[in-house]
Amino acid sequence: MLLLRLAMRNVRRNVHRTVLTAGTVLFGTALLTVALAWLTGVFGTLTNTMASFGGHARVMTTAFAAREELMPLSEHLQHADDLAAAAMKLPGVRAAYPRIVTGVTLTKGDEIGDQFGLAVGAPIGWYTDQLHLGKDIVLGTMFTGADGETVLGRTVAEAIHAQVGDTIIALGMTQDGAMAPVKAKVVGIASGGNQLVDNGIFLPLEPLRWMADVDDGATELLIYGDDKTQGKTLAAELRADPAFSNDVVQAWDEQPSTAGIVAMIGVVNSIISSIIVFVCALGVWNTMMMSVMERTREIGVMRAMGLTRPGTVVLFVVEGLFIAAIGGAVGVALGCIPAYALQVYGVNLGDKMAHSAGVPVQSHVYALLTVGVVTEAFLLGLCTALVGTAFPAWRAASIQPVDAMRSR
Amino acid sequence: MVAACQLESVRKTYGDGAGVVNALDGVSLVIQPREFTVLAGPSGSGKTTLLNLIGCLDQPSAGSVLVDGQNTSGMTSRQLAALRADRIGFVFQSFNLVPVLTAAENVEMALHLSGKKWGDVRDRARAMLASVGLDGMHTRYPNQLSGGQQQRVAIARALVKEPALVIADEPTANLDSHTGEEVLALVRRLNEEKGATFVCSTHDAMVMSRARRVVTLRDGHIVSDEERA
Repeated sequence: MLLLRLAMRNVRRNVHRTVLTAGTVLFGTALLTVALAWLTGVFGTLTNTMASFGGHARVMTTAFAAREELMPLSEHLQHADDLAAAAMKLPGVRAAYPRIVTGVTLTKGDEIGDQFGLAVGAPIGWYTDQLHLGKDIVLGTMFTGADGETVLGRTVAEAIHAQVGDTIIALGMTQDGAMAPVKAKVVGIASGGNQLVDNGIFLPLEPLRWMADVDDGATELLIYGDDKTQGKTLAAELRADPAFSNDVVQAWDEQPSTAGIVAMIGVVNSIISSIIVFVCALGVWNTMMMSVMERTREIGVMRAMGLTRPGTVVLFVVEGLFIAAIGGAVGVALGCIPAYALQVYGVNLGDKMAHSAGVPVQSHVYALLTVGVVTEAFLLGLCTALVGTAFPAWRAASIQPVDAMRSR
Repeated sequence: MVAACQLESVRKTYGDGAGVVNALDGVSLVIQPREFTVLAGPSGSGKTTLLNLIGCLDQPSAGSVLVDGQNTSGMTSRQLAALRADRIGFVFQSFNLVPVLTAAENVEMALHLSGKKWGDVRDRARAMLASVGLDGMHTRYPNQLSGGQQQRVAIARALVKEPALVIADEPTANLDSHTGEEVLALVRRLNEEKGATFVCSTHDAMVMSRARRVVTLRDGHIVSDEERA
């Protein structure tokens, strides 16, 4: 206890140095708070979009999964409606939707279409409850439930100069490879600020089933729980259910298109945090080294009296942590101000950047300030002190009493 | 009776090759419990080196050093630290109190580092401070004490854990003659009342005049060893 008291008293010993050290940690944690809130917001929106679009968990046939990039309609799930009903009986499953995604060329009026796109056929409930397409409608309306309706993404609509009320023809293929058209009237144009919505050609499920000639089939079955964190649990339940024993089940973050992005998010988070921690640790290292050099004789005396090497390390690490706790708390509090502003107002990256990102990034992105962000920033601030104090503490522990006695 | 400290044919060299320096060369010395021994001699005679070896702050190049019956040769730095913490008290020329701790806390520190259970360390530290004439000054920080008072705290810190040996390196060198005499009188009193064994290095004739035994060194050798009344 006396060592802890000594460490805390040492904090007050040289106010300038303590302020300098605490200021370094303060700067670091404030920066971390803003950076982590920003990354949490951007990546959170990104992964939410991916999980909404691709399902918290997804079921498809083994053959379809093996060649998914080719979207082979012939390898569709048969009796997809029955499978959806079976999935709904599992605990935690809130919704299940059969869906078909297939490539089509678009034609407006009598012109021969040269606009290629991915047509999505899904129950209206999926569009309203999972994709939340209604909030993205910028012209016209959502599906009304009438036959022959489509909602086009803004980019697609602009490419074929389609307007609300126009009739378009989506020319795709049946599962046997024969050409098959679907005619639909544009009831709405959507702009979600990301590629998934803006490049979409959205149709109810039945017209695409008719076009693909798959009866009650679907290329995939999308399963939703309360939120995306349940993806792996839902996937495990589905794998254990005999109804899906011959199929491939993937949680949202296990899907090939998202797994890489999720891994990248972790790497980006780690790199940014590590850089900030390392740079700030250099500042802490500098001031703590000065502290050790100033106190060489005193440390030597204490070592002569029996202070062990681990005890010496503890003395300096506790001192560093105490300073970091103060600097970190203030830093987090200060960092919350710009982070909150970014959460409220966000930053508009522009459509061009959002559409060229290669992932469904929103054009207007917001930070997300959570308890987790604040805690992580604070803990990383303490890490800064640990990293920055490690070498000075080791240096202090290496001081030989007899050498320290000779120093003046 | 086990000697408080026993050195046999101790040699301590620094450097190597042509630059080798024999700080101590074949020194043998026995210090019995309750003795008050002064190491005297000019600068460079080997006093501090000898004090460092007796205090287990350093190890000899050859020969053996026994402290309270324990041979320090071959001890690890951890074992030496434990021996110092438990059996040896230090008093330094510049007092070397921890400036951010009060007088009582400085004394308590020695008890904490000794690794023994002492019961109420606070009461023990205050009682020790009272015995060196600092009753009521336990809450003062070193910068609120005079040089003599600081040295008294240092003596209390050295004695509080009841060591086998107290090493004092020029304990009066940073004090005026009057304060130096007071501190020396205190050391003598504690030596007699508490039976503490003191080994001091000094240039101070006044300290030598108060010692029961004066060991004089020159060029790393003991040139005289006088018992005094």
